[in-house]
Amino acid sequence: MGEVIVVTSGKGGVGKTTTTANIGTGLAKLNKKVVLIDTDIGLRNLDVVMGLENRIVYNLVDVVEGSCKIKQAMIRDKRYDTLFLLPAAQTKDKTSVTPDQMKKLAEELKQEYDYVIMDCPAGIEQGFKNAIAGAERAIVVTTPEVSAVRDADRIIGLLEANEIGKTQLVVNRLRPDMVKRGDMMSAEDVIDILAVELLGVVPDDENIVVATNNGEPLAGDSSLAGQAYMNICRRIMGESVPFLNLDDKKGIFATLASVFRKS
Amino acid sequence: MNLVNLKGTNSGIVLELSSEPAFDELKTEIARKFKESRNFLGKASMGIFIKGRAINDVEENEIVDIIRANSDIDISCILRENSELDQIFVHYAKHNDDSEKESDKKETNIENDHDDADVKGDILDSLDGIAKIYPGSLRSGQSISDNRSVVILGDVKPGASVTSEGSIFVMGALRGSAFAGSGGDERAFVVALELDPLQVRIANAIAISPDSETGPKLKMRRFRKKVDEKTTEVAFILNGHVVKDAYGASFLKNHLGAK
Repeated sequence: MGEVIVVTSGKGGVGKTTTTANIGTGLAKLNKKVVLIDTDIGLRNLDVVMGLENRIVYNLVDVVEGSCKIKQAMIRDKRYDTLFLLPAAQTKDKTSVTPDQMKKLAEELKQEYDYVIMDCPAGIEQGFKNAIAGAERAIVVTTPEVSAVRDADRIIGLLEANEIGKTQLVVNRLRPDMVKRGDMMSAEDVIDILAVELLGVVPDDENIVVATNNGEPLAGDSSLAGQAYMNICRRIMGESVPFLNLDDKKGIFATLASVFRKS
Repeated sequence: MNLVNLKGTNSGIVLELSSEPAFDELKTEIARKFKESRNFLGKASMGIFIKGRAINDVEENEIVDIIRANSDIDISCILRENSELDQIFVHYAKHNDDSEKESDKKETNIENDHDDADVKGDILDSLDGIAKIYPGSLRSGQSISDNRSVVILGDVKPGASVTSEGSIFVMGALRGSAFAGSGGDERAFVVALELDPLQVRIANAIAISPDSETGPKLKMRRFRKKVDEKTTEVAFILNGHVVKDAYGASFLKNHLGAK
């Protein structure tokens, strides 16, 4: 019996889809059977980030309406055999699916998969309600900015009101140098405000942009962000993994720059 | 000249009415136009601007009723226009257009086409029985489906799809999905000035774009290619598989049996 997790944030552009793609990839890498569901009907992105856009024939709406079988709509990942994507429809809107239908779908999928991960759209309207309907657990993604943290707070409140069992936080796009200078909130500051369990901190990393554009999530590779996502996956599975020291691992240019700065 | 013309703007619809025929005649035409574009307009809330004919309050109410009955749109406001004033505007606007065209004949761009909506409407209407013609580009999330062949006069962007029981002709770049011969006709084919689709389906065969070579990075590089490197290509079924070939004499001869 698997677990249904929703990845949400309230605010747009904080990295929900990127996080979903990387968590899915990471869990598959750890030999878990994972299905990612894009619930952002009308503005689907997860397929592009996963590099599976060209394989879409059927989508979530087709499955829910019963015009195809679930198996037919599932797209197997290019690299991992245990990772699947159920893409959103692009020509419909959020009202094409109801929370009840999503709940039923999630129930059905978790019989077969270890993790069912819902990529939630931005906002708190129908799309959000659909995404959280079947979820037992939530991962709230935020960036260390007041606006994103404000929205995350609202989302956490709504998740609690909907009795989602466990809510954990991913602080995305953190810049240790700015935190050091006191120009950015640290992960601890964000946790203080939101009062939820921290699942992981992902540093701002150029590799993410490259990976996203190439349609190949970087979870598990040597980049700092890749390691951070891998640690998040381990924590999702219940392992206790120490947090990365983001400041320690500087790139060669940063190291050089700091040498020059000292002299 | 059409009795009724529908034009979309960013936030509303321009309803152009002919000033000559009786109002009752226009009513049926308005009903027909809105019914036709019911799916296209969807459930949006939009304003309506009525031009080309002076109408009174009673007529305005009747038009609103007709629109409500024949489409799902929610009318947020109605603007009427002083027809005399308009005619003066139109007169001068056309003058300007003409002089521009003469000075720069090469650039008959899309915007000019839009200004001559009447002419365009006539041409497209006359082809109505042969094919569905879409005068523009399809963006992500937009789709066209028709039992006739479909001609897209612009690009089909990723995330947009075209479905036809006949063949599909894209007079631009096909970067989205195309499904020709959706009724099972294996002779159907897909032609595009630039054939770079995510997916092409013909009857029961399907072809997807190759993964490794068409990552966004490489696609960007491809955009920078010189114009003359692009060739018009065609996708069709050969021995049960969707194949892609240059559009030219050999295709016409082998696939269509042309001489």
